[in-house]
Amino acid sequence: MKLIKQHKIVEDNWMRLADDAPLADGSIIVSYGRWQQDKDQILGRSNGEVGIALCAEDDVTSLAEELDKISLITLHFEKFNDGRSFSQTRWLKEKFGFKGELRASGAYIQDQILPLIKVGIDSFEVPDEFSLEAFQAAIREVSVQYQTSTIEPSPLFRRRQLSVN
Amino acid sequence: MYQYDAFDQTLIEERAAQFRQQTTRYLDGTLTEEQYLPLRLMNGLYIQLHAPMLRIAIPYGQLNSVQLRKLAEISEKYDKGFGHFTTRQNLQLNWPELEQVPDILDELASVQMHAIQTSGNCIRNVTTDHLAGVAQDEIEDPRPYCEIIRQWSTLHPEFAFLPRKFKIAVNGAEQDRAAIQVHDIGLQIVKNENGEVGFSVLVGGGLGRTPILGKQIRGFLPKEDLLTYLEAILRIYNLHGRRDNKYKARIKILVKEMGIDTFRDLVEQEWNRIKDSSLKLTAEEIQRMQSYFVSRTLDDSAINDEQFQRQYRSNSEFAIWVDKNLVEHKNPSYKIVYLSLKAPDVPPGDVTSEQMRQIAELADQFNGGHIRSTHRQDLVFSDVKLSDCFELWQALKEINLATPNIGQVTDMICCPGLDYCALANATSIPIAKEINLLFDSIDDVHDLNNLTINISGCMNACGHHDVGHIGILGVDKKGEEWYQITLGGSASNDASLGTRLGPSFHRRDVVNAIDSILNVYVEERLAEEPFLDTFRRIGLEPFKKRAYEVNQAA
Ligand code: SF4
Repeated sequence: MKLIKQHKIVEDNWMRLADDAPLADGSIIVSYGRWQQDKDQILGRSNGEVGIALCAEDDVTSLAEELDKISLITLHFEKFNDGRSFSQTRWLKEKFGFKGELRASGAYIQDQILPLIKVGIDSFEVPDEFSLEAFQAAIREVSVQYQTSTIEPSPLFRRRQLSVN
Repeated sequence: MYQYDAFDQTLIEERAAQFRQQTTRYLDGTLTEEQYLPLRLMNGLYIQLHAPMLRIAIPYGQLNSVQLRKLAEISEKYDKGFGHFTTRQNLQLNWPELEQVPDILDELASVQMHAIQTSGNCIRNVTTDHLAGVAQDEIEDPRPYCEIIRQWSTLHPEFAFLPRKFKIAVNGAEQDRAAIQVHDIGLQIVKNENGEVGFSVLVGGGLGRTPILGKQIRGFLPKEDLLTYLEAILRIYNLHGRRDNKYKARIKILVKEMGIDTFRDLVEQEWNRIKDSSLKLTAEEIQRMQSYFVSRTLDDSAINDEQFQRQYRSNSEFAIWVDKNLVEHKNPSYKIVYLSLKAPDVPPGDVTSEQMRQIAELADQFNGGHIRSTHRQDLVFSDVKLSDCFELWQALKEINLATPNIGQVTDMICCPGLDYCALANATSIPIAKEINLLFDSIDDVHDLNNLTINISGCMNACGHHDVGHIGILGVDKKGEEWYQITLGGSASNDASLGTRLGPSFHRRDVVNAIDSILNVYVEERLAEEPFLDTFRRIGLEPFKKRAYEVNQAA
C-alpha cells in the first residue's frame, strides 16, 4: 500500500489502529466505532493527531461537532460501487467545513479517482503496483466539467458566460 | 435544437476515449467483470441474451437528420441494419460487438451524440413531451430546462454510483405527455400568481416491481433554483437510499418508508444551504438555452391552405391519416405529424437503416432537418406546412411509416422482451404481432378509439405496462411464459396504475383474453366513451368474467 497526495507519492505517517489494539501515542487512525466508544481516551493521549476511518454506513453528521479535534478522515470503500462516500466527502468539506485531510481507501477503482478529487478527496491509498503515471493519466481523462467541484467551484454555465463576455 | 460548443464536444470525445481505455483494460483482464459492469452500463452497454446491446442517447427525444443518417450508417456497419426506439426516447442497437463499441462511440461523437448514462445506477437521459415547443396547450417550452439538466447530470462526480437508476422527466404543457408522475423526479412547468415561471416538483414515482405515483415535494420552485433543488434531492437520496436490496433501492421506496414530509424536510434543509451557491442558474444561462429552441421562422402563407382541404376531402385514405396521425400545431399553418413505428408486421419501435435514411431525407425536405422520438416509440415531425402534408404522406406510405394508428389500440408500447432481453420472463413482440391479427382492418382499429396497450416482458416495466389502459406483463411460471393483465392504467394527468385482472394467462390464451376485454368494452361503452372511462364506470368484474370464461371454454 502506498499513498498519493498532491500528485506525488508520499510517506504515510499515520498508523492504523485495530479496534482491539491498545491505544498508542502518535498519529493514529481509528475506526468510527472505536472513536464513538473511546473518544475521551483517544483525545486524552499525550501526543499525536487523530484520524478516523469512516465507512459508507457511518453517520457523517455525528462528526460535525467534533471535526476540530480530527486531522484526517479516510473515506473507506468496502464496495467500489457504494456511492455514499462521495456525498459524505462533500458534506465533510462543504457543509461541516472540515479542514483536515480527506483520504480515499479501500475498494474504489481508478476510474473513480477524478470524481473523488472533485468532491473533495485530498489523498489516495493505492496498491503498491499502482503507478503514479496511471494516477496522473486517470485524472486527465475528462477535462470538461459541467458541475461545481473542489477543482473548479464554478459550474460551466458561469465560466461560459465569462468566456464570451 | 441545442448545438454543442467546444466544451460539450471535448467532453464526449474524452468520454469515448475513456471508454475505449476501460474496455481495453477489461479485455486484457485488468478490470474484473464486476468492475467493468457499472462502467459499461454508464455508457449504455448491456450484455444481452444473444449479444451486447448499446443504448444510444437521444436527449429528450431531439434528433437531426445528420445524426439520423449517422445512426443508419452505424446500424448497418456494426449491427444488422436496424435499430429500436425505446420508451426513454433512445435508440438501441441489439447486435454490436463489444470490441467495436468504442468505434461506435467515436462515430457518434462526430455528430454530437453519445451513450452516456443511458443505463446504470446514475441519472438517466432526461425525457420530455414530444410536442414541446409546438403544442397548443404549452405553458413554456421544457427543452431548455432539459438541456440544463442534461449538462448538469452528465458525468456528475457525486452521483455516478447511486443506489439505483434515476429518471427525470419535464413537462411544459397542460396535458402531461411526459408521464412525470411515474418518474423518480417529475417536473411540471407552472406559473405562480405573479406570472413567474417555475416548477411543481414531484418525487418518488416509478414503475417496476412497486409501481407508485410521485408525490409533490414542492408546489413552486423558481426556475433559477432548478439545479440546486435537484442536487439537494439527489444528495439526500444518495446518502439515505437503501443499498441492501436492489428491489428497494429506488427513491420511491425511500420516500415511502421515510414519508414525504420527513424526506421534504431533509431536502429543503440541504437546499437552503446550497440554494444561493454558484449552482443557482442565471437569467443569462436560461436565455442562452432558450435561444437554441426558438421555433423556426414560420411562413404564414399556408393558412387555410385550399389545396390541403381539397386533398383532405377528395382522398379518404389521406383524410384518415390526417385524422389519426396529425396534431394541431400552435401555428395553424402547420401540422405536427407522427410517423408510426407500429405497422402491423413490424416489431414496435423498430426502424431499418434504409428507413432511417429516408426519414432523414424527408426531415430535410419537410421539417427543417428535425426529428423527434416519443416515449410511445413513434417519431414526430414537429413543423410540417399544411401544403406539404399530402406529399409527405405519400412518401411515408412508401416506407411503411404511415399506418394511421397513433394513440390507437395497435400503437402499442412494447419492450424487446425475450427476443433480445436477458432479463425477460416472456416474449412481448410476438404478443404485439398477434394482437394486431385481431383486427381485420384499420376500421376495426379506429373503432376502438383511444385505447392503449402496453407490454413488458418482465417486472422492470420497460414497456410501461402499469400505465397502459390495458397492460400485459410477462411472468415466468416454471419456465413457461405466462402473462398478467392489468386494466385502467394511465400515464397522463389522470395518472393511475392498472388493476390486476386476476390470475395470469398462459401464452396460448393471453391474446384471447385481450380479445374478450376489447369485446366487453365495445358492448358496454356509451357512445364515444374512451376505454378508461368505461372501465372506471363499470369496474373490473365484467372484463374479468368474460376473459376467464372464454379461456376456460377454450
Ligand atoms: S421489461 Fe423486462 S424484458 Fe422488457 S426490456 Fe425491460 S428488462 Fe427486458
